[in-house]
Amino acid sequence: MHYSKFGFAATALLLSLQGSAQVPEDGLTSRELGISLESPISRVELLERGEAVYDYWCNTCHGPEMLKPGTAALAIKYRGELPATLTERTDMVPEFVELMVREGISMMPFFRPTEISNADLDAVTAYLTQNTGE
Amino acid sequence: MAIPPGVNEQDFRTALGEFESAVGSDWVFTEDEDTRLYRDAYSPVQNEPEEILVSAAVAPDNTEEVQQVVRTANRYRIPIYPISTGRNLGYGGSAPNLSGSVVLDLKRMNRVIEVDDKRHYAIVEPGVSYFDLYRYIQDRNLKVLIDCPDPGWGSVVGNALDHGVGYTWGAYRDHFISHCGMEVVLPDGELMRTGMGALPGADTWGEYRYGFGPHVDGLFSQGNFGVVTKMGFHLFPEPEAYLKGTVSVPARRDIIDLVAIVNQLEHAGLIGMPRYNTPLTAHFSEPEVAEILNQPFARSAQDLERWAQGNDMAYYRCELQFYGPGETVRANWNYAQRLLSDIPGAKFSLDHELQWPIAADEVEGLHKVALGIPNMEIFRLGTRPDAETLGWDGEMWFAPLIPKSGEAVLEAQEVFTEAFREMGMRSFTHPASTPATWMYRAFIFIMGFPVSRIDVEANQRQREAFTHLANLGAERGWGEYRTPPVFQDLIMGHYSFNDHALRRFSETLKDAVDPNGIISAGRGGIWPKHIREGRA
Ligand SMILES: Cc1cc2nc3c(=O)[nH]c(=O)nc-3n(C[C@H](O)[C@H](O)[C@H](O)COP(=O)(O)OP(=O)(O)OC[C@H]3O[C@@H](n4cnc5c(N)ncnc54)[C@H](O)[C@@H]3O)c2cc1C
Repeated sequence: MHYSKFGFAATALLLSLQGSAQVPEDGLTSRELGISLESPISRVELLERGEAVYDYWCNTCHGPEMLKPGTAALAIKYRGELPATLTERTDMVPEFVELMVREGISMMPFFRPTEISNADLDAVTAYLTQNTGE
Repeated sequence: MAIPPGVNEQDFRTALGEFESAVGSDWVFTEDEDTRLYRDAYSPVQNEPEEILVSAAVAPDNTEEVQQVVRTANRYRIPIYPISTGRNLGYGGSAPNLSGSVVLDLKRMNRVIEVDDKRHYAIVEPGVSYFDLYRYIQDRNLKVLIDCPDPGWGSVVGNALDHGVGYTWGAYRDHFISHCGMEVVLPDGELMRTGMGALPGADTWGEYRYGFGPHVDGLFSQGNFGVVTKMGFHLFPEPEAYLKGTVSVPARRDIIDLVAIVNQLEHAGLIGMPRYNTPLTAHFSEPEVAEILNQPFARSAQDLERWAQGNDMAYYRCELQFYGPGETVRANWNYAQRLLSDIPGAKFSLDHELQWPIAADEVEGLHKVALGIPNMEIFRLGTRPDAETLGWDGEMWFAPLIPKSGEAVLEAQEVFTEAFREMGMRSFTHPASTPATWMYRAFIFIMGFPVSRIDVEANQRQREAFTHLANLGAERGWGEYRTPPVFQDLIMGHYSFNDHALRRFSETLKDAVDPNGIISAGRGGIWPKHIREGRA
């Protein structure tokens, strides 16, 4: 499953960061994701973490399927001028991602740091803006 | 910095320092950019003076930290408000009832303590979402279903504590009824366990709910007597098969026999959640039908029925869901058709048959929560281009309990539709409205009232309408089962038998258990003494 692939990557990341962290038996939970970044990590690790955060928190509404409410809403909003799936966008800037996560829009509520920590927000922002300008 | 009401700044600063020692400074939030994340995202009073804002938030990681925070709050009389995942959208979000409270955000406490798929229960912490619990079960290939509400991001604990509901079988979908034992931090910081958890060494926490003596668990649901830190839940053993069939009936008053027969099936344990609906709403925007609905109620009901029959359409449908062995679900579906054939013109369709384990592609387009699979698809409510909800920024749920009878449905259709007409508002109900069936033993006649992020006047109008309908319903004995904080005093006021004996009893308990009135002041319409007296 897509999920556990990154569960593994993030587990490795978590171990490297915290040393004594418990190894989750499988899958990621918000518990593993909710750690705060204590030491600098590489860009690759940042993007991996961003993807894991995205899969856990964003994908349930913004995944590629039209049944996903965020994707359905953006399809109506952009009428094909921009992709409805966030991971296909090439125009997003960090401020925009941060605003959406911490402010929400329309029916999408904001997310708190106990859910998406500031470090996780940085990671998911990096992940979602990696193709910006391409 | 905002200061909680009735607290002096010095004490508040000291308390914040103690909160930081308890949970770490990363997990005490006092900056505006953080505290505003504890507003109700769907507040019907947003940007108005009544909007509830919080002074701070504290996020403990474990029960001992909760105890320390509660002790500090009690010492300095700081109002605190526990939330689990704080996604109570439509019923208050993450916001307290009392502005200036400190939110106790339990999202970080997200351990699944135990899932037993031989004895069929789970014990979880408040931060565990339905998604988390589902994943835990899937990852371990455990043979149990969870009963989830439509949005999967909520808390198994938080949802149950607000009497939340789901979609599968009988009592499992009443999440508070399906709970079994809890651990609670009391207002003085003491730790208590209920049910079998109270017996040291017992291994039956998740199995037998009462233990011995008074069953006090109910005080912690829609109440304000403590902070729940763990809860057990009975789980539905994974069945072998699922079958969904639909019965359609042609006449408006057929709802009477339809409900009676479906009740018989459900209360005898032959079906899971039945779901009533009408195919007619899809035609409401057609000019002919719109005109029919524009008339006074009795007339529009008559003409709508005639229109449906003239177009060979059913008036109501009911989806019946069967869970069990393959042979049994088919036999029960046959039996249901035999009973329901007594309704003249009843028609039947077999919609789906599935076997566990269910593959992901088999459930596309199905109502996944009926199969125990959490998801977020309900939020498409607000995204369909044709939907009336397009442009809404949220909703507040008006959710009155009515009897589980067709007669009550007919009456509610009329009472509410006429009320909207009198208010000069577009009606959320009509002569074919059907009840929601989350409660095992009563109907909910639910409606979502739109909430805007910017249009204060629109929100005011919706609140007035909500209040009017709530009062109107209460005159007929229909009470809300749950409601956003701005309406909780109103609704508790409706439950007024013998000069509000119920509320007075809760207040007596509140004063005894929480003399400083620190926990969730106002929740469920129960206020601590000093605030009650300040108002009288
Ligand atoms: C589109 C939509 C669909 C919805 N569908 C459903 C549905 O199908 N079924 C349903 O039930 N609801 C539904 N809701 C309402 C709501 O979103 C869910 O019930 C949600 O699960 C509640 O939020 P939560 O689980 O995060 O609980 P929380 O917000 O964490 O808790 C709810 C309340 O319980 C109390 N509480 C929470 N934790 C504790 C604790 N540990 N100790 C003491 N008190 C506590 C607090 O007063 C808190 O405000 C829906 C809402 C929307 C907008």
